[in-house]
Amino acid sequence: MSGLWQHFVVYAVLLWCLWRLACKYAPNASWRWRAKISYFFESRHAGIFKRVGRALRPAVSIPAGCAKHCRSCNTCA
Amino acid sequence: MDLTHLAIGKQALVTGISPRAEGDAIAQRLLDLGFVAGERVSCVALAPWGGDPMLVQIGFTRFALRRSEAARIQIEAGT
Amino acid sequence: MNTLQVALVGNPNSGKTALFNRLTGSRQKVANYAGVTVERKEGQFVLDDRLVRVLDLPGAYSLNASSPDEQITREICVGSTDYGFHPDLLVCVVDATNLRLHLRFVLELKALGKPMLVALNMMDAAGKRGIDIDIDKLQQALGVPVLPTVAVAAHGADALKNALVHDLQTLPARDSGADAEDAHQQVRRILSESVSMPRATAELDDRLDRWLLHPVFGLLILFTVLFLMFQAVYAWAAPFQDGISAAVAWLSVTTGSVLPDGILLSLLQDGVFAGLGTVLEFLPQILILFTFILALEETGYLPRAAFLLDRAMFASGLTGRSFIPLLSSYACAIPGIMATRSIQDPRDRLATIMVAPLTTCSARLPVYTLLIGAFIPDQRVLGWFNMQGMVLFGLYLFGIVSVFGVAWVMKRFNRQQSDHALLLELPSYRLPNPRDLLIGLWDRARIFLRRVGGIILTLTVLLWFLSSFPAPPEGYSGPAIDVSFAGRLGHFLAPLFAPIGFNWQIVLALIPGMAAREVAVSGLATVYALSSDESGISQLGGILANEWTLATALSVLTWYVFAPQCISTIATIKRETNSWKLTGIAVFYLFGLAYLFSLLVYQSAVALS
Repeated sequence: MSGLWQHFVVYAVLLWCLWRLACKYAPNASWRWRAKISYFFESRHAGIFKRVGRALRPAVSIPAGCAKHCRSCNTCA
Repeated sequence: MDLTHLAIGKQALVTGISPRAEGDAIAQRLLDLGFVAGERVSCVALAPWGGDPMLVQIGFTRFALRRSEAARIQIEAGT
Repeated sequence: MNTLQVALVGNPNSGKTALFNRLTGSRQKVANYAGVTVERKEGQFVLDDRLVRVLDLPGAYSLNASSPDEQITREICVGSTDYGFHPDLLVCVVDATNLRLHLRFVLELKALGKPMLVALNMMDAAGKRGIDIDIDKLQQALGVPVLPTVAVAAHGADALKNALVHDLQTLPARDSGADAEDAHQQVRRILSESVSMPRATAELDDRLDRWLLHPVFGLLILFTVLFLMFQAVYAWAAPFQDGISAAVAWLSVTTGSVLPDGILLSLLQDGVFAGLGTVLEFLPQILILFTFILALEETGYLPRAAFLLDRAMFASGLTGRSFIPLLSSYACAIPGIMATRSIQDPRDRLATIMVAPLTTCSARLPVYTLLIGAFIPDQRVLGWFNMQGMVLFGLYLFGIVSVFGVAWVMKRFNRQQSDHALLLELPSYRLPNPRDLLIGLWDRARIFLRRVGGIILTLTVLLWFLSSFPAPPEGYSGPAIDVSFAGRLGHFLAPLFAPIGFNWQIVLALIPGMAAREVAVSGLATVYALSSDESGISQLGGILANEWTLATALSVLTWYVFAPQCISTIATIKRETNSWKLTGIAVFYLFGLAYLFSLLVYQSAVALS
């Protein structure tokens, strides 16, 4: 794999990690950003963008009886 | 006398519950758990450092009770 | 497929949970009831075209609720609050060896007039004790169907399953019009008609309790049991640990042969394999520890321990009710802190919340075992006991002592004493069921692996990134990590921690280590992997043994006994106390104690060597 590809993969992984952290520590803000990005794509005209946008849509419902699930210890807060 | 005076290994008969105050939740719970008049109760063990809490057996169940809880249970020294 | 919604209800110690496991297998979902921290356990099974959803309600002695747990049970049985589950049928689980206590609750439920049936559990134990139950007579006397179950046997719940699936005549609970007759008298009458009991309690219980609850021997035995538990953690884990580390090493080498040198390889080898691999190595020890803890829970020994320790807890200002929340903290302080909602007195509750982070949670285990493995010699004391297990036990003991100590100090500030209720049932002893044990262990393994793949992976990658960039300029002679973001930060903060013997790598690892204690281990592994020139993984333990002094290692261990290296715990404290001030006090005193004791330990160790 050439150096450029390597950099690409590494930065992609890094962004994904940052996104995971954002979802954990700033769930409301990240939900809103995800909704914004999803809307941005969905409101484009080209079909592929619409599909991407729809796929990115964040979950609307909260699972019954569990406001925020803590995966570290498998309990609900 | 009350349950706190029952020695280890001795049996007695419960004669009633005397609540500490109006609507004593602990007294109600003791009733629910079977500390009613006519039941046999025995003292099974005492905790280290002063015998509080104490382990009593009522019917077929064993309960660990603080002295303050056991003091609500009136007994009649028996067999 | 039609659906039936069933609620399992009964006294604590009726074997309800084992029955729930038997019915639903591992197809369970654990959540919370909205607004309260009461565990909501739901599962399901399918048989003959019927889907049965089972809700395991919290154990209750009576519908007169005396705690939030019992409140939930009451509300769902009575139907006064909507929690999203509307039981079509109540299954009341009773202990066949103790009907005198359990039948009273059956009668209370019957008075609700809802469809119900009785699961007569622990029939095997009843048989062994010579308790003879005439099920037909009992059924007639109660007016509801009675089904025998043996939750611990493979097909022990078949009769119950059939009844649930085929709608066996669930006679609507008949109002026997016995208002005049007291519930207790009713129970006595029913028992005299249908049950013959030879002895009041099992011989085994009496014999065991004579020793296990002895004022002197009882405590000694408790101490010994715990001591041996920690011995086993080291004695048994070694081969599994070696297996895991060999597997990770192989993965790392193979990756190295497939990918060319470069940052991707570094991410994989120095970040993922070195970092995560090191943490994964400690899974066997966690599982062994939990095997013992879960087994102890199942045998019914833990209430005995609560009995023995109650006085000590009371003296430190903790209630008997604190014991269970504090005990849950051995896995993770967060559910322990949330479980304090069952404590009525607000001051007691606050005291318990404040000391809960001091209990040794399972996340500390990788840190402890890493350092103990690296610095404590693998020697035998008195020919039998290994020193490493003793030090681990010592650390847990230190945690417990600090809980009592801090609680006692807090008691000096809050003078009020409330009427603490204990009223604890000591159930019969029973053999732990291997199936339930395995289900419990599988749960723990899953939780651990989720943590590794989640927060630990995320932060290790971040730390790797910050430790690799910016790359050093041409001709730089020292290790590359020194000029990276992380390296500079570490060197900058290090002087603050010099008095307690922390070097810059430790200080650096503590930062992402705030998200999860295990990240300190993976962080150190990554940082040291990046600092060395070789591309393979050397054991982190070996590296530390060469680079650190014993004094530093002891200091780090002491730090971890106290320091709240867990943002989630701090957030939970804030949520439960609803006060930034109290949370701030907690964080401040915990870090303060950590620094103070680390200082003491480090300076003493240096002075003595």
